[in-house]
Amino acid sequence: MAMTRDEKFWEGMRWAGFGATFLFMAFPIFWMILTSFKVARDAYSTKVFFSPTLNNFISIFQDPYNFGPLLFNSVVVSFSTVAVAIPAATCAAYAFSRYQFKGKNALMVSVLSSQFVPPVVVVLPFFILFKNLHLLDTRLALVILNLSFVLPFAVWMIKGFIDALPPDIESAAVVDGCNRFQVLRHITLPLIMPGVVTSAVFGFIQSWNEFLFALILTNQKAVTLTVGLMGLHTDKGILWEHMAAASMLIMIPIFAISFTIREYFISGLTMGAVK
Amino acid sequence: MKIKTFLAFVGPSVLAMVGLIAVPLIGVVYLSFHSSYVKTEIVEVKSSVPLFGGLTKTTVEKVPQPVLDENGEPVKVWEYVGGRNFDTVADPGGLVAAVSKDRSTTEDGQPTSFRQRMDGLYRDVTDIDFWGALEFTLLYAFITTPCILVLGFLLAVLVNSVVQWIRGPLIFATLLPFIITPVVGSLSIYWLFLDNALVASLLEQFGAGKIYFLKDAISIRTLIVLYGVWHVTPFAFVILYAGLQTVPQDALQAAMVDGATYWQRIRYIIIPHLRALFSFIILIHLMDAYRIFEPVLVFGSNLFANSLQYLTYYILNFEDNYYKAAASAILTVIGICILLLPVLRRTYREQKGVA
Repeated sequence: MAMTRDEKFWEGMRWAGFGATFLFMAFPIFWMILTSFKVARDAYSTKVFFSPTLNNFISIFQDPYNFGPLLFNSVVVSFSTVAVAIPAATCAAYAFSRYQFKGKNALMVSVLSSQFVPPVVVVLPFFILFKNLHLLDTRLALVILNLSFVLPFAVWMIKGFIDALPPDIESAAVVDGCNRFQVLRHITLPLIMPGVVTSAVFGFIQSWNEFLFALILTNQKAVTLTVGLMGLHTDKGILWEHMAAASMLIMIPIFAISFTIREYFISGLTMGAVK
Repeated sequence: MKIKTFLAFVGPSVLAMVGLIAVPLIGVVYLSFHSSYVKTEIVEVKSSVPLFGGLTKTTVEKVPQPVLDENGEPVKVWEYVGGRNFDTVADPGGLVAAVSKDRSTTEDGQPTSFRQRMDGLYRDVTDIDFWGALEFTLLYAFITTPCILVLGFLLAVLVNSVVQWIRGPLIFATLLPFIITPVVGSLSIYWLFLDNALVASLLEQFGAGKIYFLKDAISIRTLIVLYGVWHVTPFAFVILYAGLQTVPQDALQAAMVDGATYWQRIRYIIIPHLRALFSFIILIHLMDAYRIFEPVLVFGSNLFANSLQYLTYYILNFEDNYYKAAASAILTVIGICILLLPVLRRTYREQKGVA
């Protein structure tokens, strides 16, 4: 059926709205990506077409920037945080979901409320503690503190996935003599695996993006990519082509992971909000 | 499930959460009421200055010196200081002085207008670090919140109206600013608006002349707010988009049969249906907005646009004062609690309702 003039106008407006919105959303990232492939003299130019170079990506791994160890620190800290948080959170989420007791809702809201505590509150006493224990500037210190925000979030999220499973499917296993851990491992876990993976990805991204703890607790050995990025201010000012290349290095894993699991990612983001 | 099994399952997580969140919170409260200093004593130091002919002049001076323990380390005194650290951070005396200052005449004796008096009051109050940081933190939270709700909702309605196959890539593209590392996101906005960078160059080419976006408080604050809207709108969008999928279709069809316009369907069916989600987004965003840190650091804007979290970081890192930083952190937590209490109560009631 042919569109009327009025419908054509609104259709046009809708696509114009799309165009404007996606320009607003994607352009800053697009421009940063473009800058990472520019040579220094083009970095400040408005050119969209230029001879691309990979030298910026090579430079950030060389002196004086040496992003290699920083990348290693970020990978180790993020993976270690997830490796500790997800198993513990899965067990806790399972118990919170299946065990009924008075005050359970208040407890769950308090788990969520823990996310309201500003990171600087958490880091302050630990800064003093780690200083006395000589743990400042170590990856262990970062893993411990990253757990403070990854763990409650993972418990909340995984519980949502377990709540969606009817407890009846576990009854047969309990009748057959399985203990609760066996039930979780052999019955529940395979069914909620997409949720657990999504929570792990969220935890990884949160740890990977973490900035304040690393800024306060590290200065040389355990510096992560996000803090290293801010170190690209030199006496010549900010070298934007290098800054953009380093930003790309930080963005690529997040984009890749998010894109791979985009379906679960979106359902994970809306978990708890839409019921 | 038996209580023993329950405790075994939740034990590690609960212990970790208590140890990593509750204990530090208590620790910060404790620190905020204390202070420490190196114990000193006044000692007499004799010094001899050789004069001529083998004579010396001996002087005795009284100088403060740290008291050392048996290991030769300075002895630290730890003392309860009541609300002194809070006073140092919030400077209530300075606030009262700023508010009660006489601004009825200018320096040369001319009477001032109401606007001048208000400007003076605003300047004097926000000159105090804490109140300046609180002002911008609240400004950021209250300007960005309606913006992200409106933009997120419009975007959700827009994406919901396109054909199914294009929605996935559109949603993912829209989510990029939200999943990007905040430091990188702040840098990408900063990079666009830097002097001589893209936006300034394009505006110059179009005849707008030289524009320096980072030269004054208003433009820097606007850019930080712009960053906030850009960064968080995708979150509001994805939540509301998911909510749109749950809108009862029969109610919408009934409204169409009754002759309701598109706007009326949005106004009377869709928005009321999404009300709980709007509360959820407000809750999460206010909490995040109150902790704004990265853009303040990236824009180097703490003179023009400070935030409470940046202020605490500054006190800890540059003033090297744990106790004052603890007081600043506690004031931040109190602020968050006041701001979120109404929304939290609502969430709790909803949780209770679900159970």
